[in-house]
Amino acid sequence: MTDLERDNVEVGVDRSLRAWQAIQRAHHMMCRAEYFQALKEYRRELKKLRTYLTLPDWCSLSNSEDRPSRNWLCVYLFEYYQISHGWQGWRWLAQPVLKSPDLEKLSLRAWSRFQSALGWSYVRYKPLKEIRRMQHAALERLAGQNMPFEEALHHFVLCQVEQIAVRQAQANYHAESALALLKFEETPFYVMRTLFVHNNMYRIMREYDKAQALVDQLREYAEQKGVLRTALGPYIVQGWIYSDLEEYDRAEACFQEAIDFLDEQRLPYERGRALYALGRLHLWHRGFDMAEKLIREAISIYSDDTRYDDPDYVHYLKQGTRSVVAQATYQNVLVSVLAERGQIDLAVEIEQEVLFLLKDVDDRGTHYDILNTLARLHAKKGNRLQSICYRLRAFLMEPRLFIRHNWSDMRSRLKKLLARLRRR
Amino acid sequence: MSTEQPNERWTFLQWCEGVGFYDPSASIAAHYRSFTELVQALPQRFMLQISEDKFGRWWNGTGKINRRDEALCVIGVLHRVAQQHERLILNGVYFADHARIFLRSTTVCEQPFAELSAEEIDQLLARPSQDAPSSQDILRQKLYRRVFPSPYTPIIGRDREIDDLLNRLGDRNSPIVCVVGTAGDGKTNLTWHTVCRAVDSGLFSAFDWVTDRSMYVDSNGDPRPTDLPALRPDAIFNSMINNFDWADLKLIARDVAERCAKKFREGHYCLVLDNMETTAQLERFLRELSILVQPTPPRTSRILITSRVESSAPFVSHMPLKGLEREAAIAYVKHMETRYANVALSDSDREQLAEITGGNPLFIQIALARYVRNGRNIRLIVDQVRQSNSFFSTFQNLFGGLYESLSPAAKQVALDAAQYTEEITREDLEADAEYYMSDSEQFERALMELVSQQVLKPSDVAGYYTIHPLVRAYLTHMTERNDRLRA
Repeated sequence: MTDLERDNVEVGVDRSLRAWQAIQRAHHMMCRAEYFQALKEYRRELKKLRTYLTLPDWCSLSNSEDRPSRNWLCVYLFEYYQISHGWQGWRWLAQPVLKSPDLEKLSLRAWSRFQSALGWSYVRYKPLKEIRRMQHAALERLAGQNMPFEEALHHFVLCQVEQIAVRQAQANYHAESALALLKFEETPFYVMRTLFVHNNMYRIMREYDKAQALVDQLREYAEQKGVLRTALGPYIVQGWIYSDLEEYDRAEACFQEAIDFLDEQRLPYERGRALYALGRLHLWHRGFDMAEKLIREAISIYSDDTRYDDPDYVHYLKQGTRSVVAQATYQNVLVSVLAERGQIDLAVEIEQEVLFLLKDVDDRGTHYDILNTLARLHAKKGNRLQSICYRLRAFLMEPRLFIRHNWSDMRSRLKKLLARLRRR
Repeated sequence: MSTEQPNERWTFLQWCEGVGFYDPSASIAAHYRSFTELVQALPQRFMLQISEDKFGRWWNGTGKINRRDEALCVIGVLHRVAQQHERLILNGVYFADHARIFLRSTTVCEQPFAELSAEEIDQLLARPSQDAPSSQDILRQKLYRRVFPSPYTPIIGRDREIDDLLNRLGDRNSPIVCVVGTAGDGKTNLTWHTVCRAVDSGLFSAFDWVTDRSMYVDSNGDPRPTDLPALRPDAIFNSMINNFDWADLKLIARDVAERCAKKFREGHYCLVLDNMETTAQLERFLRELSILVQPTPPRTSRILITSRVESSAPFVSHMPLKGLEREAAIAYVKHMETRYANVALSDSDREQLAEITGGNPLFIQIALARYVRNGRNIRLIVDQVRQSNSFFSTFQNLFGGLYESLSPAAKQVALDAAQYTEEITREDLEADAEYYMSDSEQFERALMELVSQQVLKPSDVAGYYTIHPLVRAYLTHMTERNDRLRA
């Protein structure tokens, strides 16, 4: 050991500052899409985080990134939560910032970075209107300040919000704004995440060429960065497009690949999404047993509220790990499996639980799906009136989606009706 | 650093001595014969034909192991010898660490070889889990990771307490059993082993383990909040749904508590609540979970709690846990001696250690580590402990003395380890040490020192360590003190 090292050992190290710098480093690595190193660093530091959280520095707010502060901590951890989920834990971390009178006194940059992360953590937790208002307010403050990255992050959040609200024009606008402001050379993580989110909007609206173009771009970027087989890569979204285009074998291969590598990378929640996607695919193929197996596994991942006891989920910071939205979405597919098997009463019972799970969640798309499923189930049971009621509720909730999804059916019915009227 | 722990400079012969393979009265040829016999007992993959000539060169130090598969074969043989002789070199919780040292040693190997993979460890240890593990095994492994500090196997000197606890768990009139004791006396360890035994014997069909870590006890013995939200009852119900495999309840969102209570009453389940630090915390849980045991107690399911305090609730049976009784404490000291090569205490030293530690297993571990370290001077330890006026000052005297005697590098690694509130991996500590240590061998020595001094405890999972909460509290206090000094 050199004299210098000996001195260092004897004097000791400032462990709090060292941890802070390590988290900062992980954040920068993830922004640069240095995925594997970043995950490793994040995971190690998160296991120590609770030791530091009560220290005054770590509870304070600051414009500077040189010393620990809670607002920058929330910002640094944002990318990790993006791929590993657990936003309840993030929101708990953010509490001291939200309660602090100094939040509004932060520099525009520090404030904006925190606000964009907060906005994302509120998705499906707070009303979309509120998130929209927050993010637009931030964009207004940033106007003319020459902070393109900060602006892009607000657009990124708004893209997700508008997609959930099924407002295609707005979603496209925010996605395109974000992509125009972000530079792939500097923050590839966000470019890829925006493409990942944005292609869904086109897919939902059945504009598959446009969705595929974005996924192709995502694949190219992921290849460049060596993160093709990761949560940043295109496998899941590509699988969805193939699935919608009824290219089942290719879709299955994509989902299966995603399930495998997400398992290797210990990202169960992303893996749950891939299981759900594959389960849904089997359902369409009428492979009910396999569909049920996969969906039940996905539900187990999302319904376990105690996984945070495992060291791998330390970022939940002792918050519940249950994601009711994911559980509800997956359960909705399970209900379809049961219905196909003729277990209608059980399917209705479980679907009612799904509605209950979502009672406080502002996610019109998922609500719409569930109302449609309930309408189908009641039609199968012979309860025509109930079925019509649920259809009506689905229509009122999302008229555009309803018309788009039922257009061919509605057109043929309309034709029949007109023909009947003409005959009369 | 004591010479009892292996290091990369150990020769082949020293390894053989360490595991008990070396017999000075026998020839090299006799050793070779024993060696080849033992090779035949290895899993197929590690069976190698080693020539007598080659073995002789290793033995005399004139040749080195030049292939990794040969090194694995030797490790497999030495491990089996260590098992036969109950040595802790290349055995038990130390196996993976010692194997790593062996493979990296250029004294015995021609070049450093890659460490063992998890699969190789399993195969070399010939774990029964070679077949597909049952779902019960998988669940137990999952729950094991929730237990802090990790349970120690085998449990020594607690037969009477296990029987007592099993009897209480079988008593229909006490739906809740609370093991009450102070830090370090092995409440968690006793509970883990008892509940595993209860499931294995069919008393329960399954158990669940939840820990509330919203409170902890500092090194002065004072309960302090961790600033984390308390464990919520709905999280406990969810845990039960998942771990008791109540598949139908996974899909429901309404009346969860009532439905869980119904299932709990109908089955043979044990719910363990570990680490209740304060009366208020304990009372809150009992209130929130009362639906499981009231108005009529379940006939076959039980709640088992570990706590430092007693509850006033009428339906709780308290089982006070004290330190080990004299004979058991001596047996425990004897057992812990086997963790050190060439350490054999005299009967009187064992008795003294058992007496001054009050039979507290944590204290025995620390005191024994100090004894080995300070030149086997029992008087020094006795004097320090006698200056103490309370349980926690006894701990501080015992552990403080041990901490001061650590090498500077080991101290730093120990302080790093205390920053982790979850399980610690070797990889984590090595990455932390890169900030102040450039030499991986120095880190290796520091880590081994901490393991041998009972500061870090290797977990059943290779490469993982845990630290006793009381030890962690002390080290956290030292970190804060150092920070203050530096400031």
